[in-house]
Order: sequence, then C-alpha cells, then structure tokens
Amino acid sequence: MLAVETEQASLAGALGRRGITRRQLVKFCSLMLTTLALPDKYLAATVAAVSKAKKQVLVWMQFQDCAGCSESMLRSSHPEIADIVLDLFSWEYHELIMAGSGAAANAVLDRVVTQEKGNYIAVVEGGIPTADGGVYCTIGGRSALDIAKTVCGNAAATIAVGACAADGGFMRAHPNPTGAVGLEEAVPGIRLINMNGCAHNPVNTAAVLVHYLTFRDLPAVDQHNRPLFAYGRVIHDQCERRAHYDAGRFVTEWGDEGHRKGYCLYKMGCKGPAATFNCPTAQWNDHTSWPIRAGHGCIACASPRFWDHMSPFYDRLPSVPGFGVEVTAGELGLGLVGAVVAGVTVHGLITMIRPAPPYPETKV
Amino acid sequence: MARLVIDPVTRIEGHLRIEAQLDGGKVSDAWSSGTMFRGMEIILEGRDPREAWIWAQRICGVCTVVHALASVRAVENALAIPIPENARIVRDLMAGAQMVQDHVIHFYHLHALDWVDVASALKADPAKTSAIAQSISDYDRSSATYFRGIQQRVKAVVDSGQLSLFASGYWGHPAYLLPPEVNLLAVAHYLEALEWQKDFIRIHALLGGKNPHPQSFLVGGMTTSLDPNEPFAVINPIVIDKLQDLVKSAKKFVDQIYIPDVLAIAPYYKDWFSRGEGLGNFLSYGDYASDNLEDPKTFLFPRGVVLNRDLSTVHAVEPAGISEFVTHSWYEYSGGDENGKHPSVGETKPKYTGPKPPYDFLEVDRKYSWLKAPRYQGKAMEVGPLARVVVGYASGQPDIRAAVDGVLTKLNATPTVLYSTLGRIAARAIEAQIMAHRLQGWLDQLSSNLDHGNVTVFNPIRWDPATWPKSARGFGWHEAPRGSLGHWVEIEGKSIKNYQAVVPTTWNAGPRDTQGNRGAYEAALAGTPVADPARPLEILRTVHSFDPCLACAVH
Amino acid sequence: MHPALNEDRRHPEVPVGQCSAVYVWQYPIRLFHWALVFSIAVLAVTGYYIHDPFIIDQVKRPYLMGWFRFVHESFGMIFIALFVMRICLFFRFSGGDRWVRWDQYIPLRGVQFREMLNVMEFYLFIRRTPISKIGHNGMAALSYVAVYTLMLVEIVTGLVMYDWIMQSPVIHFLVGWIPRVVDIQNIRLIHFFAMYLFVIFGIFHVHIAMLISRVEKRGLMDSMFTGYKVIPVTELDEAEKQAELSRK
Ligand code: HEM
Ligand code: HEM
Ligand code: NFV
Ligand code: SF4
Ligand code: SF4
Ligand code: F3S
Ligand SMILES: [Mg+2]
Repeated sequence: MLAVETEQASLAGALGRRGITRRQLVKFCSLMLTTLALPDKYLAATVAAVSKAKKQVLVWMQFQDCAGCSESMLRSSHPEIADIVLDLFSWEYHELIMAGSGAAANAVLDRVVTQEKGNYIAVVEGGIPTADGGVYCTIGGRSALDIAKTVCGNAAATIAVGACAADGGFMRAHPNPTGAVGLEEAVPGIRLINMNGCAHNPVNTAAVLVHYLTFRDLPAVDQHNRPLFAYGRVIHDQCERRAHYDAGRFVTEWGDEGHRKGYCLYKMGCKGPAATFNCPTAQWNDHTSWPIRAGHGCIACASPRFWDHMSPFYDRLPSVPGFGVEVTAGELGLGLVGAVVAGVTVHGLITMIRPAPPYPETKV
Repeated sequence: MARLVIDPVTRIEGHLRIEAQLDGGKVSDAWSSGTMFRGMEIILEGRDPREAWIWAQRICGVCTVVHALASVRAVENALAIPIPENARIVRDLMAGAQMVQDHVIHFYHLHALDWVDVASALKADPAKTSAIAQSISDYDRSSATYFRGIQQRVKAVVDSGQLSLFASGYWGHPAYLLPPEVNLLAVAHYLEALEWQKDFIRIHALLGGKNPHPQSFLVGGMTTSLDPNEPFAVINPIVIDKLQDLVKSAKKFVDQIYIPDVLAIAPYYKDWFSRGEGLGNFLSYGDYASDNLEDPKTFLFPRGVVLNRDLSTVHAVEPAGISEFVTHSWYEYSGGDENGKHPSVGETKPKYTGPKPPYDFLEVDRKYSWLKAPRYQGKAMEVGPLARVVVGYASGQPDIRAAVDGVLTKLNATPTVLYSTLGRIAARAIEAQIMAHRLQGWLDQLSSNLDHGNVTVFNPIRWDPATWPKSARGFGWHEAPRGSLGHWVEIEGKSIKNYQAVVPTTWNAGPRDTQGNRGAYEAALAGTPVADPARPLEILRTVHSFDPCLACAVH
Repeated sequence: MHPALNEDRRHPEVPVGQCSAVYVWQYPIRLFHWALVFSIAVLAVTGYYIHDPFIIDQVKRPYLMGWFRFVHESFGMIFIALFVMRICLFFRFSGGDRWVRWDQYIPLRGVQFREMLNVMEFYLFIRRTPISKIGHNGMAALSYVAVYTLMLVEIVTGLVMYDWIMQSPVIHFLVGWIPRVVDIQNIRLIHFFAMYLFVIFGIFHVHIAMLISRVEKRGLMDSMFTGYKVIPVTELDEAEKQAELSRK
C-alpha cells in the first residue's frame, strides 16, 4: 500500500514536471472512459494506472503496411501523440520514428522480447505474407512471419491495427499475390484485439491502450475480435444523413443539388448500411470530419475483408462471382428474366400450333 | 574490406536495406534493396478504373493523397475527361498541404535525429537557447521558461531509464556537431512539429473526411460539393474560414520554425554541402498548373530534365523515354530481363531468387531488390525536392529562383552546394515554403469561386462506363513530396487491363540496371565516411536526405 | 351438377357422367397460396425500391424510404408466418389434405422419378401424351420444393439484414453468426438476386399452369381458387370415390 502511494506521489511530481496538472490528467482519463463507454466509477483506477511509475513497454511492428496506421497514430490528439510515446508508454520499437537503425534497432527488439517477455504490448501494422517462405517481407533478413511469431508470441497482448494487420488488407484481396493474411491467421492462439479500419482510428486505439493500462486487460470484443465500444453499431444507424435516407432524398449524380444539400449517398454506393464502426461519433482528426461528411460514400473500411467484400465501391452490391466488374446482379437478373420470358413464349407458341394432345395418362 | 548491413533502415517509410562495402573508413560501394512487396499493380487488374484511386492511395499512408491523385489523373487521361476548375483547386490544396506536412514531418521526425543529439540537449542553458531562438525567428514560443520546460520533460524521460523511441539512438556519436543549445531548440521543435502536423492536416479532414487516406476523389472531379448557402455542403463559407486558419498556421510554421531551424543547423554541418551528391541528373514531371495540366508552362514546379548538373540546358521530358528494368530486381519480364519496358506496357511478375530467409547478405551481383530500376533515356535520375528546385532554378521559375537565392545568400553559398545531402534538406525546406504560401492563393481562388456561384466540382460526362471506348490508355503524373510520380493505366471493356506505377522512391532507391548503372541512393553513398560501422550515422544522413518511402517504391 | 364439371373444364374424351369434382386443395393451402403470391408481389416491389430508390419525392411523401422499408419488413414477417404455416401443413396428418403432405414433394418412390422424366419429355415435345395427377406430378412437386427452399433462403438472408438493423436478441441468436461465414454484402446480394428467381419461377409456373390447364382440361387453374379439380371416376381409388361421390 505504502509502496503504491509513494509511487503515485513521485508520479504526481513527474507529471507536474511534464507540465501536466492533475486536473488535465483527470479530464483526459474521463474522456477515455467516454470513448470506451465505461462508467465514471473507473476514473480513479484509470488515473492511477495512467500515472504509474514504470511505463508500460510497447513495440510497434510494421510488416506489409503503408504506414498509414502509424501516421494515423501520429494524429492522435487525446491524448497527444507525444504524451503517448514518451510518457504513457515506453514506446521502444517503431521503425517509422525510432532513433536507431539496423543493428541498434534489432537489439532493442531482442531485448524487449527476452527481458520483458510476457509483459509488453505488441502493436502490429500490416499484413503478413505466407507464400513462398515469407520472401515478400523481410526485416533484418528475417521473414515477417518469423518475427511476428516471436514478438507477438511473447507479448502480454497484441493489438492488430488497421485492415492489413487484422485480416491481410488490400494485399490479401484477389488474387492475393503474396499469400498475405492477418495476424489472427498468421499467429493463432495469441491474446489479440483487432482495430480494423484503413487506417485504424487513433481515438479508438488510444482508448484500448488506456483500457489496458487501467485493467491489464483488453476490452470486450465482437465476433471479429474488434472492441464492441467502437465496432458495435452500424454506421448507417448513426449517420448524419440518415434522415435523408428515411425520407428518400438521395444524391443521384455526383455534384447534383442533393449532393450540395448533403443528401444520402446510398445510391452512390455508400456501404454505411453494411459497416459497423464509430466514425459518425468518434470522427477523425480531432473530431473534424469523416468520409461521409466529405461527400463520398463509406467503403466500410472497418469491416472484415472489406476490400474483397465491399468493392465495387460505387455499386451498392458486390459483383456476381464469375462475371467480373462488368455485370451487376440487377443486369444479370433482368437478363435471365428476359431469357425466360422469351423461352416461355416460344414454348407456348409451339404448343399452340401443334395438334391438341390426346387424353392424358395417369398411369406411368 | 567489410560489408556493412543496415536493415531495417528506420525513420523512413517502409522496408529498406542498405548493404555497403567499407574501404578505409569510407563507403566504396553500396546496394539499396526494398525487402517488401504487396502486388498492388496485380491486384488492380480486372477492377473498376473509377475506384482504382481508392486502392492505389493505399500504396502509401505517409504520402497519402498523391497516389489517389495520380490514379484519377491517369483514368481521366485515358477517358479524356476534363475536370472543373474547383476540382483542380481542391486537389492542389490537398496535395500541396500534403507536401508541406510531409516535409515538416520528414525534417523533424524522420531526419532531425541524424543531426540533433537529444542527450546533449540536457546540457543546454535554456536562456541561451532562448536567445538563439529569438535571434533567428519571431516565433512567439521562445522564452527561457519554455525551453526549460522542454528540457525538464526530456530529463524526466531520460531519468525514468525508459527512453522510448530515443532508446536506440547514437547519442554522443562524434559526428554530432551542434552545441547543446541548438540541440535543445531542435528537440523543442520536434515536439512542436508533432503537435502542428496533426493539427494542420485537418485540412485533409475538411476536404476529404480523414487523414490518412482522405476519401473525396472521383474520376471526373471531387466529392467536395460547394455551396455558399448550404450548411451541409462540404465547402461553404464556414469551412473556408477553417481552411484559412490552417493555411495561416502552415505559413507561420514554415516561415517561423522550419526555415529558421534549417538555416540554424546547416552551418554546423558544412561538410555535408559537398557530400552525398549522387547522380547529378535530375528529372521533374512538373505540376501545379495555374490553369490546366496540358500546359506545363504555367506550372509552379516546371517540367524538365537537367543532366550532369548543367543548369544551362533544361531538356524537355519525353514520356516515351521512361522505362523500367528488372535485371537486378526480383521480377521476370516476358522477352528477357535485360530489356527495359515502358510503363504503358509494363509487367509485374514477381519472381524471388534471393536467399531464403533468415539470411545475412543479399546476392548483390544478381537480383537483390523488390524495386524495379526506372531509367530516363537509359540514364538513372534523381527525383524529388532537389530535382524540382534544380529544374525550376534552371528554368528561371521566379518563385523558385527568389527562394533559392534567398537561402543561398543567408548561407553564403553558391548553387553548387545544392548537389549534396544538405542540399536536399535545403531544397525541401525551400519548396515547403513556396508551397505553404501558394496554398493561400488556391484558397482565395476557391473562396472567390464560391462567392461568385461557380460551384461545379465534378464533370459527369463519362461517369457511366457505358460511355467509355472499348479500350483506352492513359497516364497520370504528379509531383509528390518525394518526386515525380506516374501511374499508367490500360482500360479494356469496363475494367483495368494493366496498371503500372513508377514512383519517386523507385527512381531514387532502385537497384542497378542492365548496364550496371547505380540508382540515386547507391551513387550518393559512394565515398561517405563511416566513423563507427556499428553506428552508421553518416550513411543514414545521406539516405534520409532523400526521404525514402519504400512502400511507395515497391507497392 | 358441380360447377367444376363445366363443359370447358372437362376433356371432351371424358363425358360428364364419368367425372367427379374432387376437392384437392382445401382452403388452408389455397389461402396460403394467394397470400404467398400477394406478399411476394409486395416484397418484390418494396425490396426493389430498397435496392434502388427510383422515386425521389421530397414534397408529397416525406418518409418514403422509411415507408417502403416498413412495408417490406412487415410483409417479411407475414412471409415468415406463411412459411411456418406451410411447414405445419406438410406435417399435418389427421384430417388434413393428403395432396399437400410432405411425402408428395420429396421424390422417394420410383413413380415420382418416372413422372418427372415423362413430364420433361412432354414439355420438350418428345412425348405426345401429357401426364395427369390428382395432386402434383413429380416435376411440379420438385419445383415447389425449390420455391420453398428459395423462401427459406430469402427468410434467412432477410433476417440477417434485419438483425443488422434491429439487433433483437432472439433473431441475433438465430442468425447472428451467419455474417461471420458469409459476408453481409453477399447476404444482400443473395437476397436481392433471389428476388429475380421468384419472378422467374412465377413466369414458368403460370406458363405451365396455363399449358396444363389447356391440355388436361381438369380445371387446374380454377383449382387454386375453388379447390376442385375434375377427375374421371375411373382414376379415383375406392376410398376417394366414396368421399367424393358423397359430396356431390
Ligand atoms: C420474396 C421475398 C422477398 C423479396 C423478393 C425481397 C426483396 C428484397 C430486396 C430486393 C431487397 C433489397 C436488397 C438490396 O438491394 O440491398 C430487400 C431488402 C431487405 N429485405 Fe427483403 N425480400 C423478401 C423477403 C424478405 C423477408 C422474408 C425478410 C425478413 C425480414 C426481408 C427483409 C429484408 C430486409 C431487412 C432488407 C434490407 C432493408 C434495408 O437495407 O434496410 N425480406 N428485400
Ligand atoms: C410468384 C407467384 C406464385 C408463386 C410463388 C406460386 C407458388 C405456388 C406453390 C408453392 C404451389 C404449390 C403449393 C403446394 O402444393 O404447396 C403452387 C401451386 C399452384 N399455383 Fe401458384 N404460385 C404463384 C402464382 C400463381 C398464379 C398467378 C396462379 C394462377 C394462375 C397459380 C396457380 C397455381 C396452381 C393452379 C397451383 C397448383 C398446381 C399443381 O397442382 O401443380 N400460381 N403455386
Ligand atoms: N508517390 C509517392 Fe511517395 C514516394 N516515393 C511520395 O512522396 O511516399 Ni510514400
Ligand atoms: S490498414 Fe490501410 S492505412 Fe493501415 S497499413 Fe493497411 S493500407 Fe495502410
Ligand atoms: S449516407 Fe450512407 S450511411 Fe449515411 S444514411 Fe445514407 S446510406 Fe446510410
Ligand atoms: S470508409 Fe471507413 S472511415 Fe468510416 S465512414 Fe466508412 S468506415
Ligand atoms: Mg511499379
């Protein structure tokens, strides 16, 4: 008990030196709780955890990525990214921004995996190629799969950020030239949470990180291993254009009057009805906007395997398998109906012109 | 002779491996290898060209937007779709904002630690730092108290024994030459830049819903509807005001922090004005037209080629002169790996022949990289800020001339210093400044169009695939932060038949070609001194000066 | 005389005295049939609107999409109720209508397969003499199995989409696991495409009903309204003869 108190006392001091007052800290923690949809009774625990003396060690791995998820993390504003990487965590490995390269970088990773075994958090960005012995992504001469197994296998918990890490991302889309998969498939059996999105939203990831600091545990997840607080609701049901949808007011052509008035983008292929994510409420870049507000339909970037399932992005429904992008299900359906009508007409005509058949048989 | 391997090269985007041969404390030869491949060009085959940009944008999340732009331009070029003025302006605003933000992040977060010793900042006298800061800039956060606060914050991190990102740094390396006070100044601005970049890039959120990977492009225009009277239009007077604040903040950051910092740091590293030159051949596709892209004469960054540092002649760019080689790349070409292919008929057929991982060394005399080797009329070219500034300077572009001359006067130097590691840093800062000020012009134009009821942002003529020709080819060029970017597309029926991207970092970081000509990185590293092979700071300086982006380069 | 025995509903080769009006379709199946036809019509129209909102009228109808969705979902529930009712009829043994029991539909006996073959031959003009049955012939029965399967597909996919919106615990328990296996967009695609299959079935079905009515002259078309078909007495077995004749 005493140890905890002194620890906290020394921390209040450390926070003070950082120019963070207790009030700011409490404010930040309650904001996190709101994002996580947790009641205020956890506030004290959160504040205490966030101000721990020894910082939680974290490594951020990049495999088949575009660094968009790293960049997205750099846009975090609550908490500020500098606070996350310097004060809340000991952010020891992150190729995009870490100081040392080559041997120095590899040494850090080796040290964390051995000395912090079972205690550190691994964040993974990017897909993992499994074809041809992993030659499509190597770091320091080792394959991504090999590294992921070591780093995630020894971590206390792994956070897969972005579509690529969660399910293999765009490189996993047809024909998946590199045999890319997400972490769940690459390293099965680890303690894992998926932060889908392309990119992930740093608001949610920061909330998961703080949740972990507070409870030493990952938040509740849905059937795709995504935290329920962020992926539990359909975009369409929270969308600011929803009233237009219900009223039947749609954008019918890009740039038309409805588009200027902010009508619903359903007819332009919006996948909001098929997407679960908290974009409409959490929004992006310090709550500035989100894709639908920018006038473009949602592409459901937080849905599992969205590249394969949600494209074509400008049609409401997927293409019919085997017919390419050129034929929609509607066209195919109409075509079939037409063919049937024609066939039936011909059949009817032939039946008419041929002489009436004799009395039917019942015994066969 | 020892072989030095740097893998991963960090503080870059992506997976870059440098192998260097050391000879008497110097690099005698170097090989640049990209070690990750995803296959975007293959994956795009068979898809709807109207959505290619959504995919292609994911080539890179650092230079987000630029691939989206090149992609829509390629498809618009293939289908002959002119875009409305407002669409052009919004695209320029987004791409320009990307350039400014990307350059700032590069300088402070990806490159600064090659020059700035964070540990040394603890020894600084904050009062002196404050005096230096006030002597070089009007920036208001420059008091001794402010710098003391920063110093204490760094101290708290160091005292905790958990140095986070800084744990692996080469602190105390003899190649660090800044006095502690300047180090402290730079560390303070490292943190400020971190805060500013995320704030400023809200310009992408306003115009594209989010960053990274904004979502407002269309083949034929943009989704950013304009209306002076509609509260739900994407661009209306309220949004214009917000954009105005952000553009102002860019000008302020670049004028008062970025440029002064570059000018303050450079004099301590004068040696690096003559190291790391490389090829001496520069290519710029040019971009940012005042009217339309068909007319390169109006470009803010002119189009042209400068060969062998010869500023007296700017050669025209012949699109047919571009080709990509795979002699030393893990691909195969129909018709033989020794012949280059023009991207309009390019091929991407991966064929790995390198060592089986885990491996210690690449087979550098055979194939050794996932990057192809782009060449212009058979020559290796450097692209990027330096190329743009050189081509612009040689073309007599007035903004570029004025900015370059201004900086050179302050550094008391001639244009030849530009052909160097530090020259790239200077060129990048110069164009960031030009661009930060140019943003204002576009914003004013947009705002005036809005006031005058010119609200078209989309040209619907060929949105419907039924209006397309049976087959079409096109290309889209853009001057991305790291240099000349081109996407080539072939459309057949309603879908993509072939897609090829030749990307700035492919030009710079690519391997050797059939003739054995080195790529820009490889050439620039020759002769680099390496004081301590275990801490190859000098190599990183030159490599970082190109601002590598390997996800872009390989895609 | 029973109205079903009317001249033009009888085959000229079978004189009126040798015919019996057999009560083949009791009212539950007839009610079911027409309720089904009606609900499919409503579901197809409202479903198509949901798929592609072709009317955009902000002035007169201020809640158009909401209205169409409400109607679609309500009729979806009716559709499910009908399906459940039909399942009950399949397994109703005592007092029920023997021609709509499950064993009439699943081809288990050789005769059912032979019927199918002969019916196909007749439709393909290979065979001159049509096949006639009191209930359904094997081929017709099979096509109804297909329709009921299609109904089930439509119900399941419809419920998955409904669950997506409503998140009712019961429905979620039943179908919530499905999108993990088949992506929600493909669920939509299947649901949408099945609509065309219903239309296609309808066309075939009515065409054949008319065809059979014309060649058989047993009042097939009327039977789905009145319940009665015209069957020659010789074709009835003893029990039926008793039952039918007593009803005349
Ligand atoms: C013959 C039967 C039915 C037909 C022809 C039909 C047709 C359709 C069509 C064409 C759509 C639009 C699909 C799209 O483009 O996304 C749709 C949507 C839908 N249907 Fe059905 N449907 C039928 C039965 C049902 C049933 C039994 C249910 C069960 C509740 C149901 C529930 C729904 C729901 C929830 C939607 C989605 C509405 C939305 O997106 O808000 N449908 N239906
Ligand atoms: C899309 C619309 C329709 C559907 C889905 C449909 C469905 C069905 C089904 C499932 C049965 C079999 C009932 C059973 O034994 O369980 C049936 C039988 C029948 N339907 Fe329809 N029906 C449709 C339209 C019609 C129409 C418009 C007519 C009248 C002209 C009609 C006339 C009949 C007749 C006469 C039978 C009995 C046929 C036989 O014994 O083989 N149906 N229908
Ligand atoms: N195109 C592109 Fe790039 C590259 N190389 C650009 O600036 O970074 Ni990801
Ligand atoms: S999920 Fe998207 S943003 Fe993140 S690494 Fe993959 S492509 Fe980039
Ligand atoms: S814009 Fe998209 S998410 Fe919003 S209401 Fe319309 S369809 Fe739904
Ligand atoms: S595209 Fe992605 S960012 Fe949100 S609005 Fe759709 S889930
Ligand atoms: Mg390429």
